[in-house]
Amino acid sequence: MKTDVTRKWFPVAVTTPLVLALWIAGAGLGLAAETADGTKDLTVAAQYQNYLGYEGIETLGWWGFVNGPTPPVADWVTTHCRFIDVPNAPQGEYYLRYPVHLPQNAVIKDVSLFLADFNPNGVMTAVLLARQWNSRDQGTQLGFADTDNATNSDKQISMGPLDATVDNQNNVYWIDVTPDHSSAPGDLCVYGIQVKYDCAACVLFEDGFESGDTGAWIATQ
Amino acid sequence: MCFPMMREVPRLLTPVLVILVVYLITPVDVQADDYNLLGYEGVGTLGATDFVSGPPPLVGDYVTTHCRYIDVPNALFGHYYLRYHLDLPDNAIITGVKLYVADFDASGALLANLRSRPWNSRQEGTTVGAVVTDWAATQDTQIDMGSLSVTVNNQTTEYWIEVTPQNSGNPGELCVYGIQVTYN
Repeated sequence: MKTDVTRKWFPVAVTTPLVLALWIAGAGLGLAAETADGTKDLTVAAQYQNYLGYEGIETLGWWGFVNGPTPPVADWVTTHCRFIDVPNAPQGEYYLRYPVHLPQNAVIKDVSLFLADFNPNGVMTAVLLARQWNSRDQGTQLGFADTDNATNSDKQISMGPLDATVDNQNNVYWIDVTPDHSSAPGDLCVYGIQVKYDCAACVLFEDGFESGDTGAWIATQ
Repeated sequence: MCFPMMREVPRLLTPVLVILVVYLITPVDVQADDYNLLGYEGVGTLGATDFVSGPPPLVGDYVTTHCRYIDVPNALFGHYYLRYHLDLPDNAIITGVKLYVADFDASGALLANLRSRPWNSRQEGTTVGAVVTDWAATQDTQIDMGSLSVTVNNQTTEYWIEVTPQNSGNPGELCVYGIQVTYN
């Protein structure tokens, strides 16, 4: 009888742990695509963040002003292209300003802009800037690109390659776009902006899971 | 000696197969996430129905309820939009868009679209979801674009939600409190 009982339960005793191990391994593979709370894993290398041209905040530049009301903006409707609606403005007088919100430790690799430059004499200049968030600094330039004034067309310009590590504890980041206008300000406008960044070292959650500190993650369960 | 061992093979495999089948047919537990937008985040813009280019329209806000509206009376669908940029993770799958809005205009409505286009293009955009408020109701209401399946590709594409009013003499009767995007 003793032998029979052993023989009866032997297959279950052997196979159940095996299958459970396979199950856990499968779940582990699933977690590679999703984080512990089910959100997408953003730690894969290349990530992209887009901005609509509409998101540009119209502001004054120090080239022409100390302070004052913000300038008017306008849009091309079907193409979703925003511009500073002030004719004959030189570079640095007015800006469309786009705040950049990226995860801590993201590394900005590139900033590309899709623009219209139909002004034969003017250009659009774009600058990636940062400053200490609790300061009155004007900002430090991290990247730069401009259109050429030789052609009249839609253009994609790029600041890359960049290598700027995001430190949100200390700094704020933004992209400035300033036009060099003629009498038709709508000749220079912004369709959209794309920021490419590396998120391999990003810290996305306070529990430290993305940093590899799985002990901290388990402690929160 | 071998024959009795062979008889054990089915007994060994049966629990393995049963558990594997259960494992394979168990739905993958993909947790849905929500992405909320304040009504205030809507950027006032022009629509192609009535404009080629020009300055953006006035917007107004109800203060204590945080409800934003296009502040132009007697506007038709497509004249003006509140546009909300979506910033979701790559490979997220948008499964739903809900809006909590006020519609106190007995003869008007709010129309909302989820749209996308290649980020580096001048295309007008493709509508991938839409919903409109009930023309008859005059109340706060939640509207839902229903079941969507839009995979986010930020490398190639940008996404936004646009809300356009068809209002009467009081544009504040149609406003947006907030938007919730659900994604996996």
